[in-house]
Amino acid sequence: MDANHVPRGHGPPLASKPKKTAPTPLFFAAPPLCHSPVTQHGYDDPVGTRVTRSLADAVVPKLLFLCALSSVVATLAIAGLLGAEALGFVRTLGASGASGAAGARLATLVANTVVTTLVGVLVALPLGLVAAIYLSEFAGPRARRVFELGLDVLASLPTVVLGYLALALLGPAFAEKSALLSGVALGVMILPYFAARSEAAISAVPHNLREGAYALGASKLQAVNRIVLPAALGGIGAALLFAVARALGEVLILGIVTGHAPEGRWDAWVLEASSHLARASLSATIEGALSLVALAVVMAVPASVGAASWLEEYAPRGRIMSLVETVARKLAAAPPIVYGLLGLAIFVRVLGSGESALAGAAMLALLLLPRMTTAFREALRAVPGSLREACLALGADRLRTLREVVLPAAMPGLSRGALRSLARAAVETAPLACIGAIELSALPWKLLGAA
Amino acid sequence: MTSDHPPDSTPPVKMKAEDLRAWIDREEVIRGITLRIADKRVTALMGPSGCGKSPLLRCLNRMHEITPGSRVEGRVLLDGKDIYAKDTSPAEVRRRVGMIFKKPNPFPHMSVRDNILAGLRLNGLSAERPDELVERSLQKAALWDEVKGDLARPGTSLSRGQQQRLCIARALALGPEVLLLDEPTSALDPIATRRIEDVLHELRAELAVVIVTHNMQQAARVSDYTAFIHEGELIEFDRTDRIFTNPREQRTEDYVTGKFD
Repeated sequence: MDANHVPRGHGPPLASKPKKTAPTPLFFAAPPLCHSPVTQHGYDDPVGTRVTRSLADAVVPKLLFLCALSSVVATLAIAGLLGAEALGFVRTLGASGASGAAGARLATLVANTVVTTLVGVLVALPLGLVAAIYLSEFAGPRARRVFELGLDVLASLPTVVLGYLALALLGPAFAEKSALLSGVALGVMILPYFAARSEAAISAVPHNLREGAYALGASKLQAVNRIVLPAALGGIGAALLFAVARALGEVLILGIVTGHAPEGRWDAWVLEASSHLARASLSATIEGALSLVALAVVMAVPASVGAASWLEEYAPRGRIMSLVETVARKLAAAPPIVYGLLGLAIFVRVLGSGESALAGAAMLALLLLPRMTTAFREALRAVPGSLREACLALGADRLRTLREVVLPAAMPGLSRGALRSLARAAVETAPLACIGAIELSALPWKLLGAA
Repeated sequence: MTSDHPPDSTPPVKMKAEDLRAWIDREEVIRGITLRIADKRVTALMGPSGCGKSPLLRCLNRMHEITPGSRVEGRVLLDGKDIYAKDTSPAEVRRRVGMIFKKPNPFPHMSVRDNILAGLRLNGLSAERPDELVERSLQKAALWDEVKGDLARPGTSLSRGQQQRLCIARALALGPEVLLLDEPTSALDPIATRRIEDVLHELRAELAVVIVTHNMQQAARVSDYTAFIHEGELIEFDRTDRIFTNPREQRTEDYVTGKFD
């Protein structure tokens, strides 16, 4: 494989470049068979380009590798920090006495969360599944386009916003705020995300499976029930888990960020946290958030493209590599607010109380890196291998294959990934700003410790 | 294994594989093949599925080594020089030996015109007269008349058969000395197939063509020489008319008469 990196360098001597007056640039138009394949075309190939090209061939893969390394290291560092902080939190709880108020609170919190989650799943599972099946199997193309877009937009909203809406609308209908109300709110929160992911999972079932079912005389409903749904079961399960984890994670963290000690009921948190979020991000931070996000994206996009390119096009395939990859991928899927919060912690710790937009953006870019790299890798992977083969068969090296064909062909996927990450970044800046409104000394960790 | 070149063939040898062996993972897919490719003739590689035709073809322009876990032994001479020699770059080999794949693979983000010029761009070269090169290449691939009105349309907007001819034109724009085709018509209907075969017939005057096919009629129609390959070995190599009318090997006769299993 290494041989593919070799730049062109064994062509004929440059002196044999034909005169510009040569009538035809094409080999087969010239009668005598010439043994030097390049000169007969009259290509313009000054020495300069050749030198820079071999230099680029040597340097660029290493640069791309550095990008990939930084992406993986960033992910691991974030996860490590999260683990360390969580451990510290649990220790604090233990020290303050297992029979103490904190322990009891934690127990009720856990119990409540379990009940709430069950109710939420009961609400979201049937609704989301029906929506997903309708969209992927029964909806016409136009309806599908409209609904999918709507679903995507809803799914990309921070779940707390949906939770706030649900609580505000449903609150009066329930006599008192109970686990049932929380559960329904949770169900609403996870519904769009769950439906969107399930729809993707169902759509991903190969078409010939459906055709196989129809060929055996199955009706549409039978095909869906017997063939398509079982085939998509894994994806649907994963969608449900991810949706719940995301909603719970975001709500809990926002609750902590806004300074509320864990109580037995978290529906109050959602209300409080999301209204706080709305206030903070609307009044004070639209401008700041915009510049922060723009700066972060400018920093994160090139690094992520580099990292994704190395991982997809250059990385050696091996067991260690795939292990690192799997870990990084799993970690990159954590709720974005976890990253936002941790980013702020690093930001404050490492940079002191420095509040320069540049430092903040650098931090945000670091947080964006793992997720964006994952998104870009998907986009690169979607470029058919036959195109790479076509390039190599035309005598291109890997770098040019990447630059001229793979990246342009992946462009729609890349820009979609970048936009999605950008939306995420905007969502993530909101809690950052939120805490920025609080005094910097009131760090989440202190809140956690005091709880 | 008989690999004698027919004595009455006058065309010079363009490429020669010498005791070529190739592996994919542990499996030996080519087991010592010696084969001569005549210049300005069409050579067909024929045999049942999985017999090693495609790997053999891919060894001829060093595309085989892209396959993960692949290995090659032996020599492949192009104009008497070993393309697997240490100081030979695979890119250089692939520029001189073009390749067409089973499924047409025009670059989707490029226009018809840019697809033709892609080979130059991918090699960091620029054509002296790009318009002339585009027209000439498209004419060689018998596609010019169909696309000349709108060269800016995406390459993927063409029909399958047109796309495959576009890929041929793209390969020709680099001025290859040998053109390898890996079952180029397997994804095409009979009419589109016919057109590709006509193009090959025209190209035959200018360069060496090697075509892999599992279709015996196609081998009989387009080729001057036919190699029958089975289980990674060259069973018989001769002029196409002799392979089909008077094969020396029993296995070849069984294959061309459809008694093969």
